[in-house]
Amino acid sequence: MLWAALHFSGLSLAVFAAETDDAGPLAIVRGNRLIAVNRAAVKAGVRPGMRGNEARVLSRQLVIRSQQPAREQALLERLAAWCYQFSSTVSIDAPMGLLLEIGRSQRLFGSIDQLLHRLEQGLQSMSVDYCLATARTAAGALLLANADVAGRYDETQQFDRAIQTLTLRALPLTAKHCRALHAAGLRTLGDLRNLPRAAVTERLGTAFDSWLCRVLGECGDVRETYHPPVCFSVRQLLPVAVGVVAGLLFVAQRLLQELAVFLRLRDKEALALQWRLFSEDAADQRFELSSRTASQDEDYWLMLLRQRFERLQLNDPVVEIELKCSQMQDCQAQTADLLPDAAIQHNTSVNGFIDKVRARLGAGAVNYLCSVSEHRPEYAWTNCEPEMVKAAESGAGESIRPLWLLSEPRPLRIVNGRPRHEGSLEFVGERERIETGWWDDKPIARDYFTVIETGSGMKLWVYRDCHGDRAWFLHGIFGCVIHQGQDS
Amino acid sequence: MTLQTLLDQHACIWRGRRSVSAGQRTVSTGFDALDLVLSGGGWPEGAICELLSEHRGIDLLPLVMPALKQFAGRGKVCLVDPPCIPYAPAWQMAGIGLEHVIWMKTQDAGEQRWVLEQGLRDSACVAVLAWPAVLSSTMLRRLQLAAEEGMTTGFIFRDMNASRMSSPAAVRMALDMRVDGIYMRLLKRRGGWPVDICLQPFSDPARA
Repeated sequence: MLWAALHFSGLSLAVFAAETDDAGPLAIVRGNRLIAVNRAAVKAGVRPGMRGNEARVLSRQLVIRSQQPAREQALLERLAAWCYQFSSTVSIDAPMGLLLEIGRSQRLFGSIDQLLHRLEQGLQSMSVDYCLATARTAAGALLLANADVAGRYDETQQFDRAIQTLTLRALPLTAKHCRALHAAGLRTLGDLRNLPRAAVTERLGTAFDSWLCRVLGECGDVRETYHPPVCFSVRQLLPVAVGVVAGLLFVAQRLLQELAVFLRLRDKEALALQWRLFSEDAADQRFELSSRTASQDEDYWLMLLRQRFERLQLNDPVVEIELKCSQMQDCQAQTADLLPDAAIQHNTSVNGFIDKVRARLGAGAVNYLCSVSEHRPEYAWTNCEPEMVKAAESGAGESIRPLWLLSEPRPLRIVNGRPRHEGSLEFVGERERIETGWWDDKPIARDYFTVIETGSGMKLWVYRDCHGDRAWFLHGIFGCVIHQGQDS
Repeated sequence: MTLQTLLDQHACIWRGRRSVSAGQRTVSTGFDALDLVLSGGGWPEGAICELLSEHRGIDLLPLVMPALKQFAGRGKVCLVDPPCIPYAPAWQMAGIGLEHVIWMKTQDAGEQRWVLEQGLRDSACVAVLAWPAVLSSTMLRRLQLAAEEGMTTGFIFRDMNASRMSSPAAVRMALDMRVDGIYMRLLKRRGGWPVDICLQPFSDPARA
């Protein structure tokens, strides 16, 4: 077992990284004392432990923020979720530590060095100050990381030498015990270990002894492991309020990268993403992006988001973005054929096209048609999803129907007792009576005729009401009358 | 090299009234008279066909129906903002698989142009039908390029007064109702002069 411990000394500063300028001095205050300062503040002479007023005197541009424990915890959990790709045993050591068991991941990454290299690369891109230490015991690694002693201490002798020199401040001792030991002339852990164990336990308590056991590996160390949440939900503050949609893309891309890591860890694909854009007065704009084929690919979701952004109007400048994904399905492994199947490739490209249009114009922009078994013409068709379109049963023997249907039947005027559209109408074919629908509130009783309009030569579908005022209406258009395969 | 071999080898040499298959991929229109006069023997793939009529193309749908049957077998057919509802039972009876027909509804002209261009450019769609209210020749040029890229056939239905404007479409035809039959005036076609062809002669005054 090999443990890697991460101590995020800059966690409280990182919480505000999005809001403040990196170059400017920043200090975090709890109560009235500073607990953390960034590099720019250190340069100006500000140190933790100072009071706020003192610090301000040293640096005029100093930005002081109160500590936000809840957000620090949330950030720590996000880091834990990110570290989950390096180890299946991740443990959170509140308030600023993470523990990973990396011995078992060695084979996946090739070697421990490569694993740590990738881990450090990723952490550096997140701009959080950290200290990484490895050791054979969990408590030992944590001890070194908390004491700001970075490095690899896999060998027992190496580890022993390292911890011998740790000062009393790095140990879990109360202030009273610290003072007592200091007064007795003990300065380091090495000094403590030179004393008889029983005496140390008596003075400092069994808690200290069991801790030391765990550090030295003499007894087991059971820790609660972290499990990534079932749903993905992440919020990101923006450095400045953004009023233009294009400015949101960069942050959105970062969130999608986190989503991609999350999906890979859980071996799932996302079906729909819910985005929320928060403005300063906590009002939010929300929209959803869905895909007909689930996807893990962050570039694909980014492409859909770009399409949606083209049509999005921001009501207010945006200060925070939230991304949620709760609809996921298990990853379906694609088995690649040696000879690519054209039908499958075509299907994926059609789905991609439909997704793109839906993302940009809304879900209602893309519709499929299907016919419904129904005598009333206006209800004999409907919009549906492609899965519901049944294979065409060509209605042989059924009466003819027009290629176009008007959404509302258009009344025809009567001239000399005959109906008339733009030209006079000539009746062809037979009358068709449709009288049905008495069981719901939309009964119809109509006589349908096929007519040809003189002048334009168009074939139209008109009807006359059987009851009431027996008015004439235009309901459908066939088009011009041309027969196929006609020789000139 | 004789003149004949030169003419046979280079199909893109323009030949006046007789059009010749230029090695272009086409889809048969379903009407022999039209197939004869169109270069390649049918609607060109990867190009725009403009169809003009008094009623902004509503009455010209039966003209493209036989071709749509073939298109639907190969890919998707997109209808962008059709003037009326495409009546599903009738389309099914005409032999067109409804699972291949996509009806796009847009809110404004900008969205319509975007969908048209995307549909033409995407290889998933093999035919796009549109009834745009206003279309500039620049936009038509863009659509022509998009159709070439995606090897999609675009059918643009327009009003008769569009015939006065020049257009980069590969094929332009207008419906002409005459006393003796329904004619199509081919205003523009590849490899040939404009020509009129009769689609449906009227055998008797009843015009049944």
